[in-house]
Amino acid sequence: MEQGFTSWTDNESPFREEDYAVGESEFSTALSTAFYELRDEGFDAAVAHLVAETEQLVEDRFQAEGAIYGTEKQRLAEAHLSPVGLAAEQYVDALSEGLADLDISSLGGSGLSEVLDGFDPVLSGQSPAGEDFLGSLVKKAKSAVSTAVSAAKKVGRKLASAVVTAALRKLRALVRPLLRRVLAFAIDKLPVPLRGPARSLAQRIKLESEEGAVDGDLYAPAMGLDLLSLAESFDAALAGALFEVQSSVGEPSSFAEQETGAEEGLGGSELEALAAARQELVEHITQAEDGEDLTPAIEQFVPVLLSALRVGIKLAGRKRVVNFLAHYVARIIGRWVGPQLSRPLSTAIVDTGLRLATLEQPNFGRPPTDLGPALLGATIEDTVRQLAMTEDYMLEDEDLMQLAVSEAFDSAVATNFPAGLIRPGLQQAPTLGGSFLPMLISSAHPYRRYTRSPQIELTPQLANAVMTFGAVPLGTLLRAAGTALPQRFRIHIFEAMPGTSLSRLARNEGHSPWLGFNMAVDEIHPLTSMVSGLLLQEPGLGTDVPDGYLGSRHRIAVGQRFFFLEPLEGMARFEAEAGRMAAPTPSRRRISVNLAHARVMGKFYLSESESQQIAAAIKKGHGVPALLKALVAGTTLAPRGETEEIEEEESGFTAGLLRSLAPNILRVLRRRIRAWCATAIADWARQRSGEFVRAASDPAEGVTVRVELTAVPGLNLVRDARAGRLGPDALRGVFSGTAFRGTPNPVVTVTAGRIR
Amino acid sequence: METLTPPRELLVAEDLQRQTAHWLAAATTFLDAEEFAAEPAWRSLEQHIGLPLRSQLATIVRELITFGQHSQRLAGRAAHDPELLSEAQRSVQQFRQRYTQVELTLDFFGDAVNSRTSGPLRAALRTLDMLATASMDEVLAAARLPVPPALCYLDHGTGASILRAGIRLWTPGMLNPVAAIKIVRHNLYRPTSLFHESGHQVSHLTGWAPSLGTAIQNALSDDPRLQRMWQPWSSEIAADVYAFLHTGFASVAALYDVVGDTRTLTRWPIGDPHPIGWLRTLLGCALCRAVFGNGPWDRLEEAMLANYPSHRADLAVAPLLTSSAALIPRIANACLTAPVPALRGEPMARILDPERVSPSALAELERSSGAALWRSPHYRRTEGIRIVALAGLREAENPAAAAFWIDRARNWMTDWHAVKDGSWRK
Repeated sequence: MEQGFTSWTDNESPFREEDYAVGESEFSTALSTAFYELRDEGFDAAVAHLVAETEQLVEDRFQAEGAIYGTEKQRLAEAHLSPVGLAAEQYVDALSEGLADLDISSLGGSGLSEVLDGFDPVLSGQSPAGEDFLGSLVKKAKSAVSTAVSAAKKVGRKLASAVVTAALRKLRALVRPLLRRVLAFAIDKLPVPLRGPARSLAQRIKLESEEGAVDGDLYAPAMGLDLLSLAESFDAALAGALFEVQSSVGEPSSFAEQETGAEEGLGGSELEALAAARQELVEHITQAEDGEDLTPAIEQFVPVLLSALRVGIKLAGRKRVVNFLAHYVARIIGRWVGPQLSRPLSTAIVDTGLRLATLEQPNFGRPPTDLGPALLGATIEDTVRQLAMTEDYMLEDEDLMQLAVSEAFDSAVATNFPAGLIRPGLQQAPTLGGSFLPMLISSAHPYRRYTRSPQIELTPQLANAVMTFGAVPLGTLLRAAGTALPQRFRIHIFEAMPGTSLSRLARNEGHSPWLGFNMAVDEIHPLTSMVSGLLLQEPGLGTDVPDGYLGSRHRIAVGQRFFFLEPLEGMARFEAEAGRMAAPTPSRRRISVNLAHARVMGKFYLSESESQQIAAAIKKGHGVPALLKALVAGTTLAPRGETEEIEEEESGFTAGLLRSLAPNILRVLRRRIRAWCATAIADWARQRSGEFVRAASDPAEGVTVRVELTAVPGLNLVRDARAGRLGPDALRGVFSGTAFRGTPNPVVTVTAGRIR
Repeated sequence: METLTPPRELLVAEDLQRQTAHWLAAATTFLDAEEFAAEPAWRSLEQHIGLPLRSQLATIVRELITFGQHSQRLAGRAAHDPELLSEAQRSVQQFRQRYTQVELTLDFFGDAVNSRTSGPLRAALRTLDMLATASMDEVLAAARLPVPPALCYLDHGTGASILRAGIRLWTPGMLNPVAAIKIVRHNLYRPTSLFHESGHQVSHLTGWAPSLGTAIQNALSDDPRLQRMWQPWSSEIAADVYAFLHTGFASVAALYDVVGDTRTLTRWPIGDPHPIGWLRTLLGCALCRAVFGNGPWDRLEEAMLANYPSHRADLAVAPLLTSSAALIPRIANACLTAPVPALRGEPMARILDPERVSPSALAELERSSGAALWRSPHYRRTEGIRIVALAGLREAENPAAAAFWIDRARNWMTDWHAVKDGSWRK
């Protein structure tokens, strides 16, 4: 990609500026810029809310009666979503019609906003989630129009109307497919991704969500298509539409995902089939005689499990491996099966306090299941799953394969069996002595629950060291929610299985006898080995998954573990606000570097709570230190890792450049960037803190302070160093950091709300 | 050998079967929660208060149906065995009674859920739920007691009321899972009475009312007549004091608006647990004076005394009013210092510092927060109760601006959804 370029300076571009058709790399840049302009966490949350509301509606009516009510469930969910789809389409139609006769290219920013606001729909008669979704869709439509107008202006004003029309047409066409996937989630299907141009565009924008797999397919997503991927591919398709008119390298103009059939997009019933197969396996084990060979039962179960695990495709074709696995597991499990042989297991269960527990949600109406067979079934399932995550080379060699099977089995036993039956060296948390119970095993959305819920004391220091989804410190989240620390909590631990969704888990646990009050999905956090070590002094209880599964609660992996903190005193917990799924947005800091344009952008979002406290302090006359502390603290070294807070703006041929820099160059660069940002912020805070107060009084939640640094010394040299275009002296300057001496041009702006 | 049943007993048994079938069929309809309230309303409320209300109510319905089926079987057997007839009759009667009790319970919750019909009303009631829970949290946390969820609902009338969490409901075996607080329309947007009602819940859980009663008795130790008069009012006085500790003068002004009826202000209905309105108002003003010094409560008191002097009360009551008025400062002090058993003998004011709702403190809150006070979710969450206090204070101290403040309070309580996320503002 980088070959063939001559020496490049700020004043020279390799592209012909008068060329109407944009080149490949600029197309990618423009596309990814448009994509990121369209990304909106509020829309993602609204989609999640709609899924959760529809799920609950179906659950309440049918209470997991299984596939026999599949058609009725679908009809109910369709009836629920139909008004939303209709209102969405009507709005987009009205907007398209209204804009068709306007010369929108002549409208400035505020003029365009005013015009767009005039089409805001009246949202009456919708459900709370429907209202939420439509509100977010309206915001998305406005964003698409604004982005289209900006994009069109760069290549030719006369294109603006055409681009806007294309964007709105695409938006309208995407609504029903999106809602079909929402329906699929609600009726226990594994929805298929939005297909056609959306996915190939996603590849261009290098979405993590390609095919729902992350990091080399070793980990299986709990849901084949997760909500985050759905929202991202929606935005990718919309971004692509903005360039269909102008791009000479664009996608075919017809959007192949015009799904006309009611079943299209719904996906398969792998999860329901797995639930039924799981039940069958457990019943078989329950009724087995002493020493009965379970190999046939396991061989019957394995293919069903593998088809529900996206990574299962690796094992599905390896009959030899599956056969060995089934025999191996059956032989060892067999010593616990049967009326006599199962007694030691039953005794161990009782001894560790795992009494006959209700594994199903109380209102499912099923009798309690004997735990022994359920634990054995869970062990078999876990063994297969872990084997499916094994590297290919391990499965191709006979001895390595046997090793992989035995390791997978050991790990599964350590997870599921009572601690007293496990070798000390294998125990995951010796001081806690618990194990994982499978919950809702007859439903398409089971999960595991740890049998111990220890108490912990959470200090502010500990909370700041624990990272939750999105690399946000837990302390930041708790502070945004008004929770005072230190505080004592009881920690509840869960593990994902195929089909687990954290929103369903939260709902089910909220009705359980263990908690008895509402658990918000935003109060569930990833339990990595580091977090487990910090909170419980048992790192073995945590699971380390690729970063792709730590970004959002809507994308989790099978086998991933989570925790929920139940406060032991008063009401010091975040209250799930009416009709909303999301917690108050915590403060966040992000610094992005654009090497191509020698520009750095720092965005410091302060939560509503933090913003109001600072604004009050400013009004009392001592707010500048508070403001500086809140902002400049974000520019100090992160507690762990070198790259977690500085990102590189996606820009075609320089993508990934930052990550490939030598660590010492990166370290020097980071330090300089922080120094420049901190100095700019300090100067601004001294003179213009009143702007912050005005922004804080706006209805939007929180305040974003942006620091843009242009003409940043040394950034162009970094790029040239990577391309091998620097002489020894200049290269030495980059390595030593002297290349970064000087002062960029800073511009600090403050905006109400969160600006991505 | 089959026993031949005489025709009269057979007729009775058949009638019992018919009756049972009717009530059983009616009871079966209770399984569908939408018979009492719309499904989205149930779901929304359950998510909000965090309790599976429908599941809990479904349990009592299933128990009712089981009881009815038992009665039905008994009536069927009585058709062949006359000795079972009287047992069957008793069973059917009990079933009918139980049906009524369950229907009452379901109607109660259904009405409470249904009062959340429109968007603004739903928002307002949710705000009240949040405020009610917040008003209990600090004290119950200090007492290491769990905070019950609150469910506010709208109904007609002039006064609020509470069905406390934990008390037995109409249906045998069912305890009230929530603190169900009735709010009346004229106080919907000036909900100081909410804190009076949550005060009842807190008082019950902490043992405050009996302790406060003892403190008042001690304060009136030299007047046994007044002791006998004031002692039965201790529960309501505790609730009034609780509302004062949370909202200051706003609660007193709002109270006077409720009790300031010419016909009833100085009346003393026998058995009424509420103090005479005239005395309640004087006590409220005395509490303000004791904590805040002089202020707009003085004018309110003067106005009331000018309009309703004690000598115009009933002949039997007037002397008691006069005597009580002379000792009101002592009674106020007793209310503020009465120990709370669950707080290890500390007074309630130690946890709920009334200085926070003094006019000067509320003015400072108004000044330091600016316009954000009425818009920010942060202030809603952390200062919701003081916002109610501020709005009530401003409305009371400046009648000319009352409409403005009521409107402002209304907007604050009903617009939080749109204001919170400005969902279709970019």
